[in-house]
Amino acid sequence: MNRQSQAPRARIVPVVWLSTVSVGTVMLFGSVELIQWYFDLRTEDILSVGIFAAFVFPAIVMCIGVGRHSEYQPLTKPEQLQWLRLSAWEPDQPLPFGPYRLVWRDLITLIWLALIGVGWGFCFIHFAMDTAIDSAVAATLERWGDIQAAMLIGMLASVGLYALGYLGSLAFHQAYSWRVWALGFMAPLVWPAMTWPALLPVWAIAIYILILPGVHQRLIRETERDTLRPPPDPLEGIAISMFSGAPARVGPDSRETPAKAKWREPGQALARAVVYGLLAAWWAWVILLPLSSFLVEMRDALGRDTPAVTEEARLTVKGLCLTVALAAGALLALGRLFRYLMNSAMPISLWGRVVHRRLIVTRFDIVFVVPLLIVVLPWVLFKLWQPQGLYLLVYLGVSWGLSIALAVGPWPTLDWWRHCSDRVVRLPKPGQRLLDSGKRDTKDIRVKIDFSR
Amino acid sequence: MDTHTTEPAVIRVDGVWHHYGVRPVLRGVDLAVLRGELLCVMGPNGSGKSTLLSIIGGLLPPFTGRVLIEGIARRSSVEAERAIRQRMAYLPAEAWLPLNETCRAYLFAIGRLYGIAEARLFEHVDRLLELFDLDRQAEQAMKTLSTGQQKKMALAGALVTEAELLVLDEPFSGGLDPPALHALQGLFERLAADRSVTLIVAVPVPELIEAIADRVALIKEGVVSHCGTVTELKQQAGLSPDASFATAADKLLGSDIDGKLERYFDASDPDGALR
Repeated sequence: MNRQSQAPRARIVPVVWLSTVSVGTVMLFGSVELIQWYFDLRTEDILSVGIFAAFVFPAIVMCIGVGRHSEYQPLTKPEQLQWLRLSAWEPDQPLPFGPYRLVWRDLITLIWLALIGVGWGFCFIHFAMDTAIDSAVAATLERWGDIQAAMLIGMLASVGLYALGYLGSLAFHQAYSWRVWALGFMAPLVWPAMTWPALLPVWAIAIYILILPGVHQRLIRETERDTLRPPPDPLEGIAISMFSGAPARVGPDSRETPAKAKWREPGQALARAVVYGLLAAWWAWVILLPLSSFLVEMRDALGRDTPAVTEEARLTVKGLCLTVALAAGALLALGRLFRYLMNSAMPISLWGRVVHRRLIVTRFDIVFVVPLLIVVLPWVLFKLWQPQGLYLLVYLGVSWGLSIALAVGPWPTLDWWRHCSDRVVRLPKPGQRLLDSGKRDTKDIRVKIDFSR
Repeated sequence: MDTHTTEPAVIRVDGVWHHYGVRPVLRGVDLAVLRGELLCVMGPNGSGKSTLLSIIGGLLPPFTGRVLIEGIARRSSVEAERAIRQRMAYLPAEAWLPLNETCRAYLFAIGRLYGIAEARLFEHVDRLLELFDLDRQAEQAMKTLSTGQQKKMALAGALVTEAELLVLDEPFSGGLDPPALHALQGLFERLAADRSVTLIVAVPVPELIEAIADRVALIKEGVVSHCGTVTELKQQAGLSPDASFATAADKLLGSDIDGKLERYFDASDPDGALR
């Protein structure tokens, strides 16, 4: 045998896991069949075993899907990523310990899982009808006959769960990519596809093609992240120079300060906020649509003969919507305040204000403007919209969308506020505390940082 | 500068400062290492040895100053950094290992990454496994190995790259057995002498340094306090060439171990009752 054929290769096919699931399936359902036959039990008597298996085996298959990606993805392992950063790896080279993208050998896993799925389907014949909750499944059962339908469903479920685990894990690393935003907008459209199972593989392949380049780009970005010297933080530089006497960093690095870079950020943050807002509004609409039609039906049924009841029901539903919108706004405002104030130090932190008996620090308190807006927005929208005839579904979508857009994005963003707001930083001389109660004794250095260069 | 010849340095460290928070760890370190030189870095715990090696190895950026590898400044551009990484292997004291991989697969993966031809790689992997007494564990997953064996695998991983520049943080620590220590000692000497590999190695054991080092850099409180050959350092310490390097290092670093020992025993047993 050629020695090069003995070269070790990445173990893509999880033989141990697949064998365990196969043997487990055979053992569990074999013993169930045996017990059922020996004790002459009905299906209902051993339903709990079926339900247990119905959850455990799919969970394992999903884990195999997650494992297929995460085992070989350096982004999931900070130490491996660090190792890769320091190694000679180049973006056009394969990853040293195996590919996270699917390769031909993965077909073995898929075929194996499909066979296990067929086995499940066959074993689940007693339980399949109980799980046929979707009209599409019921129709398929009717068309194929019990055994074939159960086997087909088992096979689809097995492969589908693997794909779900793998793609979900893959998409996780693309949390801020436009591709995931695209998926976020497209996701509600999966429901119509569910009625036609043949569409699911098409969906899976589309998602895979959409996400994969972004994940690889992120991996490249991460491995290149430390290749360039980080720009100096002006405040850190001043502090370090004062404490240790290190020469201040000068030269080309200083040209692109973090503060200068942050000036560009509000535009990006605004774009992100708009997308967040649109996504929230879209999902609100998708989720509330069935609920809304149900409420309308209920209202009409109640008020068919009694207009007073109709009016009362309408008011109740409106009040409920306003309450939900206000509660969501309050939560978002609190979340934003928490994010900003937890990251601020004395004297602008809440505790710092209490200690210094200075509750309002005008230049910094622009940070409260947006949370206030978020809180009052649902109420203002409600009041403005109601005379024109409020369509509740649209109102909730718009209200949530705007609240989320305000909460995550626009001015002042956290970074901008920290680095670029009109703040005066006081630095003590070495040996003095950063904050002293008696200002006249500290002879503190006032550093006004000019970020406009 | 501490080079003895006019030959350009392969690795040059110019005025490197580094801080953890506002605490300075390195304070204006200058160092130059020539091709085929084996430089040992020694100093007390917390003196900045590992930080210096991390900066040379590319793990950390210096606060100020720069590191030049064969004339290319570290972190000057992505391309420059990639070129340096092709030539240098850096092994931290606690190296990451893919524990689910087998020993052979791990070494193969690294060899391929560094573009070593398959046939040559086969031979090299076999020789490395034999050198570290790991040939019987070659097909085992690395998680089944002992701590010392895992350390050997980490070292083998650095060596299989065939890099011209090796930066190794405490390669002799981590539970290596006496044959491995002996093998490593001979290996480093011959890599530097026969193959012109440049090595910077952090070693805490003066006896080992005396046996292998071309030059020694003593680091104290973030500064290279002394740098030279073992004989030169003994001279600087005012000792004869026959004296042990441990005594010289102790003296140059101002450790005063003998005095501390005396004080310890005097304080714990002032009446000499335990003697």
